[in-house]
Amino acid sequence: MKTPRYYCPKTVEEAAAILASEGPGAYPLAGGTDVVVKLRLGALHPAVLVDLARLPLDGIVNAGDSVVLGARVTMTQLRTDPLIRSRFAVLAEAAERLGSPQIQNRATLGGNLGNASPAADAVCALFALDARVLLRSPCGARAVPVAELMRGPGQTALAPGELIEAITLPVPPSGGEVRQTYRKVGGRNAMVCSLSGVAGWTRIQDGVIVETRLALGAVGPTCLRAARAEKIATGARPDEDLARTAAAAAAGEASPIDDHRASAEHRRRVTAALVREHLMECAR
Amino acid sequence: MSPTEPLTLVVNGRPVTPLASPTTRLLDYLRTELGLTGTKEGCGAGECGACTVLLDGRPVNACLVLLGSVAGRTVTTIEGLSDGAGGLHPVQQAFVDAGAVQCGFCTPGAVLTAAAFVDAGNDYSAAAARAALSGNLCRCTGYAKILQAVERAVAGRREAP
Repeated sequence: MKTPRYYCPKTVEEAAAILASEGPGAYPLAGGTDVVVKLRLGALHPAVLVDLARLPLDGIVNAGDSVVLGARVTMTQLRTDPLIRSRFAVLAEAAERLGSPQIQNRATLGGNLGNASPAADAVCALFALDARVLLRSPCGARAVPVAELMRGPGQTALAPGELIEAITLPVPPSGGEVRQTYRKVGGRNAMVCSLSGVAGWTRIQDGVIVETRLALGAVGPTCLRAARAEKIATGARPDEDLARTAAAAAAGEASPIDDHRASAEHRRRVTAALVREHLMECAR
Repeated sequence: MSPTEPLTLVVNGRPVTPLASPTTRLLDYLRTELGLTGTKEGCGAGECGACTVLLDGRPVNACLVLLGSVAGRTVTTIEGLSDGAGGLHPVQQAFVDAGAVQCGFCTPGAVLTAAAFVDAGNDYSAAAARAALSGNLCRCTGYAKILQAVERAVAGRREAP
């Protein structure tokens, strides 16, 4: 393998300028937990590697009506930060289930997005939190909903020269009680790529679900929201019957594939069970 | 950093300026250029934890880190864990006392991960210790004695003055 040229810019502007001027041969590197393996296996052979290690994007900032996460925030930060643990628990739980502590110390939220795996744990949580992603290029900045950024396995809507700068989590309206869970199933309990993962975010007021967001991971080309199941659950009282009905709807919305990890049918059943678990959690 | 700027980092308390390219894996740099072969390569994909080193005190897989990414930072390998005067780190001693070593290939990584857990002031619980060590695979011990070693080291820390 030809050794790529290496840059380690100190500012976002500089990083975006290098990515733009070097064109499609340039590849960004964040925590490296996926990219370094791909480099070694020859699955990735960029002409230029733009290491984002020095960019000042590792903060978690409370901006009042939203919380802004720098793209280099690690899984360890997400699972330990008091604000994330209390207000955006689904993201803290997903970060805790992503890989080993060693991986969590390196893997970044921006990297989880850029890598665009349909099974990405933290991305699934971002779908349930209605996150927006701030993208930076030499031409300026734009913010897109996370669902618009994800296009398919390994595919994002990032334009050439565009860089993931930050992730914005809207703070939900007050009132009622919010239940958040991230559940995943893989071949073993620890350090595993999910064969199905469900991020659930549900607001309950006076015993009724007023809003719910059910994000399904690893059962489609990207993470997806179970819109029909959400519609069924909204306005209903969480109980066993509702959980079963909505779970069946969600399983129907999933479009899983057969692969070496699991059959499509198994994935569908696991997805239904995980959606049901979330709604039963809301019934407690 | 531009390609021409020199790269320095601190390994086991000593500032170093690598000759290796910044795209070299930290693992290869440690083993080849510095001769610190206590850091092992198992899977090379971040699954097994045999190459665990401490980066600013936190465990990371050295097979997943490029040298350029850790410019200016502090790396501790198994060779740098003891006090330098030949004394063992309390976690190393606990591994010896518990008999937590069989073939030894996973041991440097497991010791470093356990040392980070113990030195961070965590209390011992089987669940917390298992979660902390979930990224260090061991094919010999069945983990029971490794967990015992962590429990001993935590207990020892409480008794220490």
